[in-house]
Amino acid sequence: MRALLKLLRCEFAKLRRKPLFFASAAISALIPLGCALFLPDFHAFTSGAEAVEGMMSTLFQMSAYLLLMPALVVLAANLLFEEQDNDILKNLMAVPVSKPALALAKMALLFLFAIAFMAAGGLVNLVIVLAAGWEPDGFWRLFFVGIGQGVMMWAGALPCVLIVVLLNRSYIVSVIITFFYTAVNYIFGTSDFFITQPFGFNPGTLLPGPLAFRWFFQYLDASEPGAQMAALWERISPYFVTTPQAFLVVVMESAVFLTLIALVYKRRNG
Amino acid sequence: MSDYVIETRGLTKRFGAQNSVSDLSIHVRKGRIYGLLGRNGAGKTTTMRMLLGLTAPSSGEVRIFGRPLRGNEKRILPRIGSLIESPGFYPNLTGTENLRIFAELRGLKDPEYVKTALEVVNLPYRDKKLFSQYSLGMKQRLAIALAVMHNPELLILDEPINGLDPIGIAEVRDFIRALCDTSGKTILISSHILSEISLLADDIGIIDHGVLLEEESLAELEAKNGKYYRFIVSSAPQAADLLRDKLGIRNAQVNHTHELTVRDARLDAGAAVRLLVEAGVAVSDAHLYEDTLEDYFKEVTGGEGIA
Repeated sequence: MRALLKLLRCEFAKLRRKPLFFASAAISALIPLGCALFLPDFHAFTSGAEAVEGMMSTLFQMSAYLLLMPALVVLAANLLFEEQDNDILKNLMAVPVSKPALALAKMALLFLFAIAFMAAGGLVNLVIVLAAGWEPDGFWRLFFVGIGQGVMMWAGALPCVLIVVLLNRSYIVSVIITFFYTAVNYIFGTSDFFITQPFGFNPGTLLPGPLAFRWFFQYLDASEPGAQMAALWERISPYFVTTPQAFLVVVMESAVFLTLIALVYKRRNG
Repeated sequence: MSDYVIETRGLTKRFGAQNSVSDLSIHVRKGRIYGLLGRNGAGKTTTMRMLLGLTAPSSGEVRIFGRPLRGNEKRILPRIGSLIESPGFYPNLTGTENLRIFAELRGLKDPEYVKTALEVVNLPYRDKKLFSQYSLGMKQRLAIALAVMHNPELLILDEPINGLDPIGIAEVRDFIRALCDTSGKTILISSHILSEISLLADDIGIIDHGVLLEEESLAELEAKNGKYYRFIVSSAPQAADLLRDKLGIRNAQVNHTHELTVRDARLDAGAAVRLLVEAGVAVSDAHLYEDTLEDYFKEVTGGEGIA
């Protein structure tokens, strides 16, 4: 464990002057700011609770699915290929550093990045709500739901990371795979077919998009829903997954895919 | 307990049907500089990679500090400093930042380790220049700094003077020599540059097509590099017969009709010339030659010379 922490500290040190990483982090504020500035709904909010709800919902549905997920895979490709591209693995192995431990440290860095991404997005929302003069009612509950969703997106990105590592191809191929995976994940996450499946061994539970949706959606305030929202709520509420159920799947999938990523990375030539 | 810091037994590496290294058994003694000499592609780097566990041998064994490397990597590798092939570092970091990462991984808390390592290779500490902006020579120096930073007992250096200018080469040579002489380090160094090996190494292994052809101390090799006489005569076969019959010289070699080589330290050249002339063999030239290490390399590899 100490060795892993040491590797994680080194992973942080390697991030210096990495524009890709900082650009990815910066986009966490993109959607909240965009919503505040350009979304007509934002100006129609009548209370702080409604503003928090609307903005955090956008963070969950847009930032997490469309920005965080691809950012995680592209960053993973960048992190996992950097030693190979720059012929550094031999120096690390001569220390010795084990390749599986190195791969796990990189995944741990991405885990922290996912949490920080959602936390930053949530905090930007908070600042916007406060700046608009509203009371941020119910913010902190949704803030932690956002953190949880960050963890889910990280776990959901691992299968795609595995494909990228397995194919061992150029960044362009990685980016194409990433955007295909992101699109599929988003479509599945909003498809009735996937989000109306019971908890169990089925795509609605195992795929990250539908699972995250069935988890975070129950935390949104349904006390005064519009007609469309009420209909959606009625359809999917029987299929909500509890927090222990959701994170059991996350833990199990993470364990499987982290092991596979570590094994594939181990087979790489140093 | 073995006397050798590095010992390989029947080390072999196959890539497909081709043997990159074949049945290699080298012996590196403590406190000595061992030069692994061979042409490009002779198998030097593959050998060194196997010594560090970077490439798994197809067969054979590597023993370092008297222990098999396999299964003891965590105990053995921290005692080794290495430079294999081209220098590999994070391009977005400075030299200092790069070394700090490796210092952290090696558990070297004191920043002096990084500072001292950079000083010994004449690279500035806390310089703002990124590794990606380094010249080839600076990259090579940084790689040497990494190899020595943790004060290892054994250094494995693959072509360490690559990319260095003549002054840099001399500095690195002196530095390596001093590491051995004053700090008692054991050093395995590979090169395709014969003069470098002859200037640095105490022991030499000659490798060609993955096969270790010779392994001896430099002194032994120099002693082997015998002197020889070359005669230009009117009839080389007749001269060879005369030298054999009258002077007992059995290894006179006829190169062609008029040229004869005698590799025999006992030969009295004056007596030989007198004998040949008196027997009616005209001698137009008699010269004493001395083999260089390069001649010896050519001889043992049966091929062309080396840089």
